[in-house]
Amino acid sequence: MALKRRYLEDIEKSLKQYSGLNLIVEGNEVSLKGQWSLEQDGIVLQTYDILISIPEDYPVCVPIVYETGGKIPRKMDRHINPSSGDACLFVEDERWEIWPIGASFKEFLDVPLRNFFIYQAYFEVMGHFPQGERSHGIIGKIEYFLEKFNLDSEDTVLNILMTAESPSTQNLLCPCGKSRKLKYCHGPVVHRMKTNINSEIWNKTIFQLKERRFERRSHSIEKRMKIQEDFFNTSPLDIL
Amino acid sequence: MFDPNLNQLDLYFNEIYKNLDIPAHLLATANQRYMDLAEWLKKDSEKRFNSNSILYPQGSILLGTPVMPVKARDDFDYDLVYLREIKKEGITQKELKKQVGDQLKAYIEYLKEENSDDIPTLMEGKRCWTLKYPKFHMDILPALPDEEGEYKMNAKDGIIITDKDLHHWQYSNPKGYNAWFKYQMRQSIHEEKVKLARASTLEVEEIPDNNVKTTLQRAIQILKRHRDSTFKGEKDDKPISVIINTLATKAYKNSSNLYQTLQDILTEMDKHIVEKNGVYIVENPINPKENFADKWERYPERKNAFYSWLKSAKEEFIGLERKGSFSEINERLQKSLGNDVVTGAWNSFEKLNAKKNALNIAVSNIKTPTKPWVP
Repeated sequence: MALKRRYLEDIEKSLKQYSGLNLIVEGNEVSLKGQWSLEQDGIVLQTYDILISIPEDYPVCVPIVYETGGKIPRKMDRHINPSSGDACLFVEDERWEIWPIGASFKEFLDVPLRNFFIYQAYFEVMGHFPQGERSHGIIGKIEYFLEKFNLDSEDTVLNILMTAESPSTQNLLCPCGKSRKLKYCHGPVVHRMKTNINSEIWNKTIFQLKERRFERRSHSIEKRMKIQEDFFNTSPLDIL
Repeated sequence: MFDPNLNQLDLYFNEIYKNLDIPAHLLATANQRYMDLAEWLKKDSEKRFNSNSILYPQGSILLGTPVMPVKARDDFDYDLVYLREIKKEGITQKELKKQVGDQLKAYIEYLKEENSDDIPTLMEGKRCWTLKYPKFHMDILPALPDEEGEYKMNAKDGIIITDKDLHHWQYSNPKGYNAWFKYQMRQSIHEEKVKLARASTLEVEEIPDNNVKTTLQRAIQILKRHRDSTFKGEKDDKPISVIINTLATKAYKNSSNLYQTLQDILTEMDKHIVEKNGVYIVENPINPKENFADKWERYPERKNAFYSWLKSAKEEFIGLERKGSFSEINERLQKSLGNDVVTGAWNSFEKLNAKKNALNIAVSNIKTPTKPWVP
């Protein structure tokens, strides 16, 4: 499946302001290659060689970005996937706030990509990321949900995501405990999150959260059983 | 403008250090020449004497504290121990020294035959041989294993070396001293490795100790440069490196701030000189029987030179946060560390600060912050 014409035009349009990048179309494969130069007040902060690969199901799937000049080490701590070498720009579930479906390609370059390279240039000099970073994997996602929903319980996050993902539940009470209907509480946010994300990724997140809940519960059941076992194995004489 | 606070002074002195360190390309060339020579000597010893030999760095190259000479056209030192694995009973000092000289002459002939583009010249010193290359020279000290174990610590690495009159064997242990030095700053070595690992794809465990430089090593380099500038003419009185190195290590407080480290060292270093019945002792940490300052008794002017150097270093380096602006600091340090070093350091320091400012502005201009993540 080839990239739709209007998306290709939108990408071409963005290059007016990003003249260091060249569009390459080879059969069905679309990519951009070139230099990304960061400047501020006439000072060159850093120049990166980059490759942006546009997925076939763009814009549902986010463009994949590689730093090809070897200036950023390929490691998790630098937010580069060590095996595939692609840059990890943001937690997928955050996408609706950063670069929602429907936003232009130029906005992708302006916001998440530009941020990413500013952060990397900052790290090179200062040794840390300036505006924080997410933990790796599902933990990073949980951090985002807790922050966004203003909660401190992972169980409540899962309850909200599971209840609110269907439009038919919007009149139910929000599981966050504020005694408000979902549609006036966390419902709309979850809806926006879900519609801006590939359904596979969304389902994977829910699955991972369920798995974690199962582990927590079985752990606490095990603990309870251990206490009971200890209690029954203890002879009254021992206690005395 | 930036104020000379502790953090800014840390950055500033790091730039000073970079400007007096041996440039990486020069050190790489010297390392290569050393490895070529070591390999050749090993093969030649097997062929010539049917015995084993090892060539290894000692002194500032081994410790990671070499400095560029004050005059840019002068060489830097690359000191080596040439250990022949034979018993001292089988050879006199004179023979040992001659054999090493013969081998080095043969090495030069070999390089000529190979049409090597970098052929050194050989010079004979009192106890060592010198190979002079462009920009640096290698002092090669003939040595034998110390089988009596004069040194208690790291006895296996003890060596005996020729004396100036080629008569009495002298005892030494450069590897043992290096082990002590690295052990004293192990915490900082680890911290530097963690920093390097974050900036590269290496894991902490993969990084050799020699690939990082601690604040202690950098501070020693700065102090040695200060000494070299102070004693330009009076070479004999110049405090020897091992005294500065030992006292600085004992005074080190593991601060990750280079400027703070300089202050810590200068404040505390003379407290580790012991005075016993009027004799000043700077104990060799791996051999309590050896006094690094033994010459001070015979030449009291050397002791005085050390204390007056320390006094001037204290005046120039301590409390700079309260001693005026950076331009005043520059002016003072130009005299004691050299014009080129301070000017070079100041230029890169200003650039670094400008870059930091620009980065902070770029970050504060971000309207929609994002947080990088890994799936």
